[in-house]
Amino acid sequence: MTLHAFVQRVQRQLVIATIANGIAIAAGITLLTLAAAAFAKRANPFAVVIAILAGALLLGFLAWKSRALSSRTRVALWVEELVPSLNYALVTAAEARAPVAEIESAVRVETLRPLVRARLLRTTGRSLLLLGVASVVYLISPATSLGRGRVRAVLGQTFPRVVAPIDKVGSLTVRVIPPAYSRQRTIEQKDPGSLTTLSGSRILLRGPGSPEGVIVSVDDTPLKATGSEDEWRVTLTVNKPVSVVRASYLDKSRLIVIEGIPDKPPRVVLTLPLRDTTLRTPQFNGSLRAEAADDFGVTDGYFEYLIVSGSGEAFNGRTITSQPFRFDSRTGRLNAELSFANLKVGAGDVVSVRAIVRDNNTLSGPSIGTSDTRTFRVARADEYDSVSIEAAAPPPVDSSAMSQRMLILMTEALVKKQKKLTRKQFVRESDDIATLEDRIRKRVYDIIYQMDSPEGPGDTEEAESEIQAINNPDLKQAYDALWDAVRSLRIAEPAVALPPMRIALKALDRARLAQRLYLRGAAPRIVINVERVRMTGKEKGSSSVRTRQADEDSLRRVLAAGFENAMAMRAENSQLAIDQLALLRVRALEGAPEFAAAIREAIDLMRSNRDAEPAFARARKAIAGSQTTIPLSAEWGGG
Amino acid sequence: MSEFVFCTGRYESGDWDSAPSLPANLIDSIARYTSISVAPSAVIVPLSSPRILGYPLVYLTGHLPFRFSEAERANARKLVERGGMFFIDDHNHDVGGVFHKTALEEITRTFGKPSVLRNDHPLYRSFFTFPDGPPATSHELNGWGDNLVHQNLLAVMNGPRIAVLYSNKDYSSEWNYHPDNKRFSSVDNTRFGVNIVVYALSR
Amino acid sequence: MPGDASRTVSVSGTADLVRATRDEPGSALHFALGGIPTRTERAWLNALGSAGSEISWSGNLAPLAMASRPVSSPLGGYVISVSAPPDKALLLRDNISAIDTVTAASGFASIPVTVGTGNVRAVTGRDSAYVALRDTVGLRRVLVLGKAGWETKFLVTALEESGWRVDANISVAPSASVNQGGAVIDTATYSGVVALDESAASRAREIADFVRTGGGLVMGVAAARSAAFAALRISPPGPVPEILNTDDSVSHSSAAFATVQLTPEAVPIERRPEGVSVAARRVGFGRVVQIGYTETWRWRMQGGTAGKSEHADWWTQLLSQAVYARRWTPEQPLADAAPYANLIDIAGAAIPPVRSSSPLPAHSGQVMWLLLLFGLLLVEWASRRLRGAR
Repeated sequence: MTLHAFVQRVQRQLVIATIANGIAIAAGITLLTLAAAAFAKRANPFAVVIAILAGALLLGFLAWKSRALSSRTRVALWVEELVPSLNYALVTAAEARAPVAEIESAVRVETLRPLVRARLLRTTGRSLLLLGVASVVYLISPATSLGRGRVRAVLGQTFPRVVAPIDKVGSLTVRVIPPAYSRQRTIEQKDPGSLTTLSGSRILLRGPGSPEGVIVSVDDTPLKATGSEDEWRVTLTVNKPVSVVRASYLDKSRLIVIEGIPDKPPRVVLTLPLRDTTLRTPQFNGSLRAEAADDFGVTDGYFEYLIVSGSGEAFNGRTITSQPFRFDSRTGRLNAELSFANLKVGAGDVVSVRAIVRDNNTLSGPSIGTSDTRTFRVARADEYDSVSIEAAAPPPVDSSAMSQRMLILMTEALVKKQKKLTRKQFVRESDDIATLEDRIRKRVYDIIYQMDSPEGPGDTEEAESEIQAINNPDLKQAYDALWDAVRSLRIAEPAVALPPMRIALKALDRARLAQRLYLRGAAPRIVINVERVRMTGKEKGSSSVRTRQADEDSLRRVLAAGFENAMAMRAENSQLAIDQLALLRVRALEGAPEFAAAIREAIDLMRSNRDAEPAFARARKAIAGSQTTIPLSAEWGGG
Repeated sequence: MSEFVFCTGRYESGDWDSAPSLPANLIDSIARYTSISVAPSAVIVPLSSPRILGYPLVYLTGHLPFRFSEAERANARKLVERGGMFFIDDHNHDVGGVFHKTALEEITRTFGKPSVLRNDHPLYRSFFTFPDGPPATSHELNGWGDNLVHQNLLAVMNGPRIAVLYSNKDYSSEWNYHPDNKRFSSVDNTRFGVNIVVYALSR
Repeated sequence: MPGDASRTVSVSGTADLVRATRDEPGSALHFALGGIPTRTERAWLNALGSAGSEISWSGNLAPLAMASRPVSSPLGGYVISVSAPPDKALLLRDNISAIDTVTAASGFASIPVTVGTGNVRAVTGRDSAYVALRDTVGLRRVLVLGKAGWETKFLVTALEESGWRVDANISVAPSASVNQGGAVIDTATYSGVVALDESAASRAREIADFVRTGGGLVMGVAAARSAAFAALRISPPGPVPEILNTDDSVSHSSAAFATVQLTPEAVPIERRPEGVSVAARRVGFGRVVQIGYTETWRWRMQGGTAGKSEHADWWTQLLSQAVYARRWTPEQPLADAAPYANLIDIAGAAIPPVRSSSPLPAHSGQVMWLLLLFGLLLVEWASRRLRGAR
């Protein structure tokens, strides 16, 4: 190989080595920059741009610095620097247009080649070493999952003062996925102390770092954390009213209180018929109407007819349902026609009607909602003559109806004989009827507004049955009509008074029939002569043992002690105090809701480093209960 | 000192007054065997009235559908939550009957699912001792109703205490007679009723 | 008394006090006080007095004193008693938060504190006092004696729910009762006994001995009517009036009761417009509380949503006024319970201030700075005005 060719070859080698060095150094610097940003907790896209820019600039600088490589003379000089004994022979050979024999013979290429190679290798090796070191630093930096996870954990445990272990539970993300049927949106919260969601929701709990070492439990039941080197996650389902999720890693721990709100059963109100009815004959055709509503949606519903036949000790029941009604919304309406003929209802039967709806809860349901029951009772043919029912005094409504019928007859008679009477006589008789009519009006008023009735039953509790007329529209209609009738009769216009009198009679009749006839029978009232029979029994009872019925530690006592502890540790370890308060809140949710609400507010305020004293004051007042029941006496020191 | 007043609860859906002589019979037994201050006559109080809360032991029975209205259900819950007790007896003594089916449904809905009351429960020793649990009724032994002798009562508990005692043994028929007729019995069959009252008044 | 040779010092802090009196104590010192001196300041005054200075003071200070005692109840808590001027509002606070603002209408106020830690401080204006909450009580069991009935049943239930350890003897028949626990009635076993009716009469002698040796007794109307309790009761109860309820609810405030006629040794615990419903007296080392209510169980059953807790709280508070409880203080608590009284103890009562012989009051330094600041502001303002004029 000629010296010229040798220089050319070295030039090529130098270019390659320089490019390799430049790339290695630039890459090394880029990685070091990224690692430094991660260590400084500044790892973001901007830092990445800066790092790449730094590498590129360095590469450019190295390229600019190596621009001399384009000159063979400079390459030859570079070799001459390695071997000063060449005395510019190589430069001369490189600059010559043709090989110079003397020089070719004096300089042996074989001796130069190893020196050049060694130098190139040393330079490149240094660059690659830099790249290697930079790569390692980058790998163990928090910029990579390895660095965030295992390496940091090991380093953190080995050199806790130098490398703080990553706080895998310091920043938690909670995704709440409500059940599909609820059609609620998924929500995500950062670092919640507590959250409230629909029972059946799935909770995805996420935190930084690998799942290794992360311990998550729900009410002391451990859950397995999964995930990647970057992120651990745990999934759980809300199936209890209150759950306490505890996530811990090394000496760090976090509590999240999850309240599961159960899906409420649907509500259904039977709007027609409005009240129970008693019928003389088993003939009835009427409309049924019900309104249904649910917090998430009703799917279907129907009317249920329970027909009970029999008497005495023998009763048979059969249940029939109406055609189903389908819904796909939060509310629904059920309409049906009730026909006793279709249901084969006979005399003495009792038909109980109610509406039943189901919601769209496909998880724990469907929940069923039922309306109040309306009862249609068909009187037996012999009922009114039956000796099994003791005749009670006619109720006030009945006597009113009877009197009204009589007054109508009197008024009709007065109208008929009007021409035979003098004006004075006519006015007086009309006024007499008006007085009687007004008495009925007052009687009806008393019934509507539950005034005491002298004709009513004597037993205070039994008297309850007489106030069924409250809000009875029939009685109200009767009352209004009676007013009209009284006014007309007072001004001696009995003919005008008759229509409202008849309206009043019909309304009173309806009100009377609306009463449950079989309840009219009063049970025989047996009064025991207690003093006479006292301790006359032949057999003797014996003593028994009672056991304590309540926990020795009352809830309030537990809450008071726990609250005092949390307050005492507040100054030393705020996080521990918050956790203690969160657990107390769980205990209080059912039995002391006011305390629980105050504690929730206090926790939120403490988390955001705001003044929680007002919330503490409310919490302690909630525990104290009704403290001023007995005013503390200055004269009596007490125990 | 207030006296114990036996209370029959009146509910809208059925024949709540199907055992009209039972209250007086139990009042007679309470006076006969105990020194408990007891009112000489019973009261009937609508379950929908807040006045029912003044009677912490309420007796309910019937043959017909047993369903509470909303007001009745709300009061019943309050009564139990504050420490009261219901004694509900199926006058049909028939597990396939209308009362039993609807009553269990309503009890579950209002108070929670009832469970079998063990026959060594303190109820059976609260005054008289019933080592085999609830005493059988003649209606059960005669094969009426569902032709079964029910071995246990059902109960919904409020802590360790019975809040709702449910029987389908038909004590309503067994005890529904005038107390004067006790003289014809060799053994008073209302003794278990005394246990129920003593239990309610002391636990 | 400060004579001509006395020197008046206005004290606004410990540093002031020390500076003004350390180098030149003087034979007679008069202090013009703006607030009650702190413990340290009072100790300094005491030292000055011991060193031979004649100490006197003047100032409009609030005579503030307070004390705390633990409540004999399973729930614990304290009663803070404060003596303060009737026209001043007092703020009570402890290590947790503010507790309450009260006015001692008759110069005295008692405030219950169920939950509290550390010290409770009473503050009015610049004056304050504080006491530590460190006492504890040793509460024993309570025995309830009564006939089977709603009153007995719900009393036992309410006490148990409130955390009391209850023994009960519920009479069902002459030879039968429902028993829970039960032992000899003495102060080693029981803190208190509740005798509701005549069924307790058979143990009246035992109960009387118990009370005389320090035990507490709460006596119901029927028990107080019993001749067996004649020596313990305050007075035979009157009849329980019939009250016609216009609604179905029955609460403590609307309940009928048999008036307790007060005797000279009796103290009213609960006074209603109709008369005294609960009263107490001391018998031997113990206490007897006589109540006039016969149907408190109705408060629980018919008293609305708060009825249950009202019934239980009323009985707990009533019992805590009567029961015997051993009380101890684990360690001497740090307190400054009566600073005003302590000041009088050290320096005597307040006297009118004399003219200051000191050329400048203790606050003169601050006043000088204020004047300087004001002058600078004036110069600054004038400078701006003059610039504007030109």
